[in-house]
Amino acid sequence: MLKLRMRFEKNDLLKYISHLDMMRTFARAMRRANLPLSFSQGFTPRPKIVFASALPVGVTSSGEYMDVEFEEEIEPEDVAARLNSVLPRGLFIKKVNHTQGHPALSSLNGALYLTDIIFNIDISKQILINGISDLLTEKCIIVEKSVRGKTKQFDIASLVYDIRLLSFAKGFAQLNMELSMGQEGNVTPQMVIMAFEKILHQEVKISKVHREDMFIYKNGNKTFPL
Amino acid sequence: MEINKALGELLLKVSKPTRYIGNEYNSVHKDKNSIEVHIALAFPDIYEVGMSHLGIKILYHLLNEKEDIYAERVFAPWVDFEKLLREHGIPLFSLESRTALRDFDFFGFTLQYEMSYTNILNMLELSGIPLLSKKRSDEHPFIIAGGPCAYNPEPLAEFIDFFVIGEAEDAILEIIQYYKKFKLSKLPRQKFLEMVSQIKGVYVPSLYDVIYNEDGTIKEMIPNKVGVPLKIQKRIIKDMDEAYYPTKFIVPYMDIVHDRAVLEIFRGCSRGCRFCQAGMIYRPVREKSVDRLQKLAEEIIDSTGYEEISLSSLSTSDYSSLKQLLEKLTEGFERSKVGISLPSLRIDAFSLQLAQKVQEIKKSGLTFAPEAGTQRLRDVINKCVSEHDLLNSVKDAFICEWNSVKLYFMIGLPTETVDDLEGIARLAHSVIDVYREVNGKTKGLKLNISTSTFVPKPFTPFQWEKQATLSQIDEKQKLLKSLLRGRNIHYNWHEAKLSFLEAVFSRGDRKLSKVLLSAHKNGCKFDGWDEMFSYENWMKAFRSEGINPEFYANRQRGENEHFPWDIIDPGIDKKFLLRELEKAKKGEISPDCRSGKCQGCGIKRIADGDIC
Repeated sequence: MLKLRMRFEKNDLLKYISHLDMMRTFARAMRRANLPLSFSQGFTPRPKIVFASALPVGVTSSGEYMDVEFEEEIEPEDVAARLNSVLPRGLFIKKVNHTQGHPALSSLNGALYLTDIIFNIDISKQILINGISDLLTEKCIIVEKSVRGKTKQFDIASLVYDIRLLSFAKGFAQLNMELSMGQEGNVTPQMVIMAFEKILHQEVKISKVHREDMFIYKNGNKTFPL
Repeated sequence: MEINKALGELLLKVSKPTRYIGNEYNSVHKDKNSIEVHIALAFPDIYEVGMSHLGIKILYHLLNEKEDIYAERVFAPWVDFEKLLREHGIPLFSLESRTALRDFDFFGFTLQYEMSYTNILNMLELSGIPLLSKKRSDEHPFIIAGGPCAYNPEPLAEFIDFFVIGEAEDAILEIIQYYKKFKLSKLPRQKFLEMVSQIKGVYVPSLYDVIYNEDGTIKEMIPNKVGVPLKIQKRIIKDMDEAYYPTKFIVPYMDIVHDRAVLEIFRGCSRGCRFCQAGMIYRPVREKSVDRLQKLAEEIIDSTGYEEISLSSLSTSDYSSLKQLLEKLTEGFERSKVGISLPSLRIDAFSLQLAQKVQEIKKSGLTFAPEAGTQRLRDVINKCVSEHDLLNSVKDAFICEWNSVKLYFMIGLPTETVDDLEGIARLAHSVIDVYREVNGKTKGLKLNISTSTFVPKPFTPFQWEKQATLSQIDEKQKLLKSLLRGRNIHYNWHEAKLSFLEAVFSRGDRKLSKVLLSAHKNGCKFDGWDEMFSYENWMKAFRSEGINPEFYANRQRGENEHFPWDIIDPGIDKKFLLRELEKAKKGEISPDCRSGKCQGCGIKRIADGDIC
């Protein structure tokens, strides 16, 4: 039995498909590529594919991960080439390697996002930088999130690892955010922007969210899955 | 690309954006500037429904194999997206190249169900194309239609420029050949309609005048141009092994209604059930060979990666080499774990063995369609299933540890009495008794009883019969509800008002075009969807147009009445249908054509099949 980890991207064309749709798409692509997949037992055998974390609809990514089990030995480079030749436009395998020596996907607890934002009112770069620094030093950041139809309040202060201003132009900015993901709490760029609106006292519109990578965040250090 | 730009944000505001993004694996993309003919294939329902339909897939790939033709898909936008399109002034567009529909050469609809007609009008409106055929000019695409409901095209006569009757694989290419000539000639639109009327299987409603009798029935339909055919004979594919069949099917992202590979194993049906239109209009029976099917199945799985392949036909059990085919397929797909599903399977001991081997059926349960509750009524409709056979099959199924069974019936069938309805309940209780006999208890058994209202259809022996009235259906349903009680039984019934409208439009004439237009203006769309169906808006439309729907649904027609669909020749003779009706009334059955006893339906007049 062979287990391979794949890093892939999901771009603009496919940002509207759900996580479930994407899982189905990969399973079918692997059959088209004629890869020697391992299947689960039972009446409906399913290929053994495990994904790191569901990407919200509307978000693109260049750092998604999955672990796939195979029945036979197969070269990682070969898998990437064969899969890429049968994937729909919008999905692309960037890297394949053995899982040995890499952290389990289930232990990932952080994600790195690029978020493009638009302001209605002109603000200066300095105000923005001050706003970010205020946000990072807040002891308590309460955001609202709808859970099964009910609005609940969450404190995300300890779950925002880092925010940096990447670029700035009149009415536009791009932020780099490192946010908690997984069991400790899922923080989305939308939540951070909601908190940011309160600090800046003005409306901030998100024009694009892109997930760049995922990682394990421990004692201030980041370890990447591949 | 204006449409592209505007869509980016709008798609995040709709419930299922995947319906509108296209770009699926195996979808075909061409350069619009290097093609000659641009055709949109439309299914007047949402993506999930339309993408489950085989006919449109066959045509899509068939047309796209020709370099100079670009066929794209379009489905009805769900109401949330429609609202956004209207608000932002975005015209309906094709999935592949996001081209506005009004810029196509052809806009073709498949007619699978009468209650999708208002969606056709809505899609035309969203495209900015005049709804009425006579209001269109040279700049507009030709609006064409085909599919089973085209066998009575008349209710849509005012909207559709021309219909293709029967199997369209060959006809559509001939039409496009004519169109290329026409395009070069710069002749007016009307000339093209006259040109295509000469193609076998093409019906151009505007080339006929309808003369009515005083009682509102049709006196005659006469051509208003010289040389227009008096009868439109359906198109038939002669050799199914030679016929085009795609292997690079589009693989959708989202979960559609039938999300699996489809292998069509034969066309036509030889059983002759008297209520069934498909069994009549798709004759003769033509099978594909096991070798051809095996090759197709492998190619389809290789190019799609589907985990399941479904054998498609009107009656899977009737395929003459089913056992051999399944052996080959199961063997071939052993390693890749591709499942085989067998819809439309007649349940008997043989098929149960098969089912256990090949498909994931335990979850969904077994479905039987006795259609009527008593042997007498089953003889009337020529559904040759005996209670004895049915109970034996059910017993086999229970022994094989199935515990969920569905039984389908129709109510309001011709000659039906209270005894026939009680028969449904008796049969249900017999099934429970069989379960008790096998398992010693009834706990665990799930028995679903489903009834739909009988709709008399054109080109069936019951085309002369009236549909039971809504109040009669209501009484019948009440009786069944009182009889079908008990913890094991779940009784569901179809909305009778919908079946009533279906009966109106399935045997309607072109006077109904204005009712459709009025219903559309009243906001009727997605009528087949419970949450969208508004009977009140429909009745308002009938009233405002001064049309009595009961004239179409509940009127007993005379033997000599001239029907709106008499202009179509499906190869089934009226004399044969009348003979079958007489036999039905006497409760006499007609044997399966496979028995060798030809019933003289007339299909031999126009084609030979494998079994006929």
